[in-house]
Amino acid sequence: MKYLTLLAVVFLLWNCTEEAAVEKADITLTFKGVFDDQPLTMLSDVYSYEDDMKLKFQLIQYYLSDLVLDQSNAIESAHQLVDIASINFGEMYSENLALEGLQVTIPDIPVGNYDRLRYGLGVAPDFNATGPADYEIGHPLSDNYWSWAMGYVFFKIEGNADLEGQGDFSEKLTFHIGTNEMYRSVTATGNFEHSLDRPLALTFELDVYRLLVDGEGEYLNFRETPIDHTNNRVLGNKLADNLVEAIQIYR
Amino acid sequence: MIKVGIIGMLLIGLLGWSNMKPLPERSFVNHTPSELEILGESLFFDPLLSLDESVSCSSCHQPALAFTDGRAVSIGIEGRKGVRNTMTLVNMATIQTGYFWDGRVMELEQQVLHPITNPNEMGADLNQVLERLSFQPQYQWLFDETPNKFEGALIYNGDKTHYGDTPSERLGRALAAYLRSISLSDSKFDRVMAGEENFTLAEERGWAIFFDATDYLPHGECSHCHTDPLFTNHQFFNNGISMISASNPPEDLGQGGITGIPQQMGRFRTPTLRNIAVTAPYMHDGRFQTLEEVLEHYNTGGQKGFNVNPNVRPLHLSKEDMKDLIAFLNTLTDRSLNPVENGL
Repeated sequence: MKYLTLLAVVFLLWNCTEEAAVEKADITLTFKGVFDDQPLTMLSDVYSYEDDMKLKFQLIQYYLSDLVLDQSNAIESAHQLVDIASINFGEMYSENLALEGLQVTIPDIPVGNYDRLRYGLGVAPDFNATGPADYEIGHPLSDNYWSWAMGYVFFKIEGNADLEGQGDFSEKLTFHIGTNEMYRSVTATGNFEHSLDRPLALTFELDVYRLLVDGEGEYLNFRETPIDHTNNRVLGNKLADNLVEAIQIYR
Repeated sequence: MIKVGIIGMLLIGLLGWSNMKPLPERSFVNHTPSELEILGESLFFDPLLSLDESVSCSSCHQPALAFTDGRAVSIGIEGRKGVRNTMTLVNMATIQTGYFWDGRVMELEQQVLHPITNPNEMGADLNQVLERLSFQPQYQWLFDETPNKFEGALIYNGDKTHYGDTPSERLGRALAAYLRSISLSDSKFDRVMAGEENFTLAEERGWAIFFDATDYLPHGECSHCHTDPLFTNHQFFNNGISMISASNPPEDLGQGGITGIPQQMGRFRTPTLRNIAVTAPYMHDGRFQTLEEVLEHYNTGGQKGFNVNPNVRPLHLSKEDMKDLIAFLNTLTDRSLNPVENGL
């Protein structure tokens, strides 16, 4: 296995063995963050939230596990693009950076009429049974570990809230969510055709507003809960469910 | 996390620890050094590296103090005061996010040369130092035109065509090799993790507070940044020790002073807590003399600032909580640095 580092995105790539005759092309993955329709920046933009609250963010980070490109009607067509990646928007200090996103190229993926993308949000159970000492420094799993619970923090939301409209952003927000119970497997279907003249380029866009507010309009109320480190399992599962819906994939 | 009672939690924790791996096996104390490390060690303790031959690297990085000096800020040649607290050199091999408090140098081979020429530290001219060293028989490798005397010692210097091999580059390589060999991971904490010892009740309680391991005790919020097993995540944060705003920038800009990024103003490297009991005073400017003062700072939630890490918040720790937290921190001292454990 080998892994690449690009900005704050670290990917561990599957070192596939392929037949020499197969045509291959690189796949580009881009990870972006937004808050509703605004680019997601850290320690910069102010975001209007529910109930007249204003938010600023310092860190949004999540793990992506076992990203596999597949053809539903073919045997042995699956290609693992990523086994574990830490998507970290912590250094997105400007809208320009946020619009660029974090980008990585996965080399030499066989061309094909792919129509299915499978991935996990959080740290897949097999990886979650390991610990930082199993990895070299810089590996995605060399950090974000709860040793006492023997598991990784699957995603983090950190920032500040202005609850009273005074502009002081004095309420500190930290949400660290993890445990196998909060791992989510996702299958996305669509046209993921990958060809020599049109190599696949996918964008994963995380909408942090959608992470905090579900489809029914139920929102995480920072006046009541400014911090949770998976103390509240109901909340943790809720945010894990929201994360699934908060990520849109487009090419 | 699923919360259980303190006793149940400790049982789970202890069972879990037996499955955890300690730091990579590299006992500095029992380690057989390579030729390059021996050369680097000799240079590290040699005052010839300073302008007036009065101080060596070890003047500020004293092994008995986990390679720190016990001062708020370092003292260089002619009694010149530095501007920052001397950092420990233990486990430097694990750093990949830049060296110094502000992360300004990415390669250890380059970092080790900075103090030699810093006017407040060793104050020397590198060429002058090399000329001096050229007269010393033990340092002839630095000037030996035969390449690769030390197999595997070559380093990639970044331009893909040239592998550094000038005397100054070799000086950096030798010093860096020695520093990389300084790995200490034989503390009581490590031995408890390995199932060889047990914490006292106070240490266990401090451990639980440190790791926010139960809702039955206050959360210390320490392990977000001081992540084990290294007890640092090697990242840079504003921990709220100074009031910072756009109109009130800190005197020492830290990481932001290097990158020019306003959001990184006043951020400093998270230091390791390994051997923290012997590395006082604390913080980048050595402002806190004791661990009690450090904990008092964090217990208040720190100063306001637009980029203060949100994990720094009022903790509501009692005196007993802080005492137990310090009991736990004391378990992070390596056996080789602990006089009691050494029978001294």
